Amino acid sequence: MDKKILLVDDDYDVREYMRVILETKNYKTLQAENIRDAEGIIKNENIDLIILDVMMEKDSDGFTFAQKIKSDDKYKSIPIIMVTSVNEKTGFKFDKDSDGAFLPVDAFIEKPVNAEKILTEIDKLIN
Amino acid sequence: MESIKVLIVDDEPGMRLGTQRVLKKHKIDVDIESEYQGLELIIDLAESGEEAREKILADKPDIMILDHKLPGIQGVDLLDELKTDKTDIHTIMVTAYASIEVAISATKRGAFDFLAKPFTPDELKHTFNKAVKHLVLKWKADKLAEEKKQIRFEFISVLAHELKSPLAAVEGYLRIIDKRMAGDELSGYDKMIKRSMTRLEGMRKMIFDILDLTRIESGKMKRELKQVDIIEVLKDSIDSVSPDADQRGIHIHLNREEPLFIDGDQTELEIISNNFMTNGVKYNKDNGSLNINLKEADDFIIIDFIDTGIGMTEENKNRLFGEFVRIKSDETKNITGSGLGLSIVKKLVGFYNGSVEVKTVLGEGSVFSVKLKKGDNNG
Repeated sequence: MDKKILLVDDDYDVREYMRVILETKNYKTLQAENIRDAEGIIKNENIDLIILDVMMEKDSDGFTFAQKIKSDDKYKSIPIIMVTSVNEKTGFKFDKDSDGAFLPVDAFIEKPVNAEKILTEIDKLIN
Repeated sequence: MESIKVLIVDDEPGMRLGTQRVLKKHKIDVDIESEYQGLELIIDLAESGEEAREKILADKPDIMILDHKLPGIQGVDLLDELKTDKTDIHTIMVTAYASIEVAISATKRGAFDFLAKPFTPDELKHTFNKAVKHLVLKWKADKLAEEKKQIRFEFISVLAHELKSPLAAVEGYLRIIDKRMAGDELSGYDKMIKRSMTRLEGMRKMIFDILDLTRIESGKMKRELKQVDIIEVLKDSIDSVSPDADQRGIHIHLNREEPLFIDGDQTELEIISNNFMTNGVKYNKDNGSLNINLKEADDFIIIDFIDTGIGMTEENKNRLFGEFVRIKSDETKNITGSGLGLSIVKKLVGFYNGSVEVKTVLGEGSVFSVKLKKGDNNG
């Protein structure tokens, strides 16, 4: 069965091009433009992986959501890839080996998303 | 900021302790704002310039009462050092005799004020109060400058984010097109190309709006006040949105034909009118309507822009006038806008002693009521 990936981003076009990228590998995509919708989808669908934008309405929304997922026994096994362009904004470089260690996500991908990179990450996490 | 650190430097124990006693009993009484009320004094003592220097290095006082004649390093020399170190301490120089030369030299070296020995407790209190008042004013100015810097930083951060979003979208689509990820059929890419153009158009609008906004805020936008017929302005706006409105079957109606004059700047009024007119069409439903109703009330003109559009939730309504705020939903994803239009309008309406009020029902429509003063809009 095709794997289901949840895309959480408030930008319609980002969700759209991510969908095209993911469909080249036959992943089924579900989309949420905010955390509320994302929570609903996670409850009702068996999600295999979440791709999450770091900044939505509030700066840290993505983080809060990731923390919530990872502290919930039912969902904490779902891998999360966080998409970010924050490094430029704060001068804070996200790096899984250092900062990533205490962050509740499994991988970071920078915007604009490189198709090969994200497909490789997904492959590592769910196949 | 609840306390003021005071350092008393004098080689005579009697002077040190006497000054300390007066200040300890002294209630700070300067006309300052409530957030600075109830300031507590933390008093420290030093018996030589050397000891004072050490204490300043360890913990910088806010106010220093410094005796001019000290056994080792002299008061004025200490002042010189502090001046080069740029430590800003409000120093009250204590001199043995009221000499204008000493006073001038001390002031030149950065002293805030001076006291001539012998001085009465009242004289001490009075001079001390002046220093406190000056200090608090400086704190306030620093705080304001800091807040300004912060606001500017936040604006630039949000701006950068808002400009990066469309770039990321367009770049994302281009990469897909470049790698032919959606197959070999050209038509499979039509939507991506359309979306890219929409995002770029939005980006260009944002840049223009930022220029408008900064021009208004910096006062660089020259105002030419004259009698402007608001009806003409509204009609011009209607003309400019008509092609879009016609295409979507949106009917626009203005309830008044005869001229209505307002003391205003043509360009400003055009920006205000165009904003509400484009919003009224952009956020309308196909085959909807936009009614513009004018009323006069005392010295004011009230213009209601009544649309049968998508409306808003109460939560979104409250966010509406914030910079870069755009209501995101499936219905608005194809509508371009900078999220600055209403910020600009709000600033401009301020020039007319005016206001903007919004009534809205999600799914049914919104009413934007703009109130503008008819005359005397000179700032």
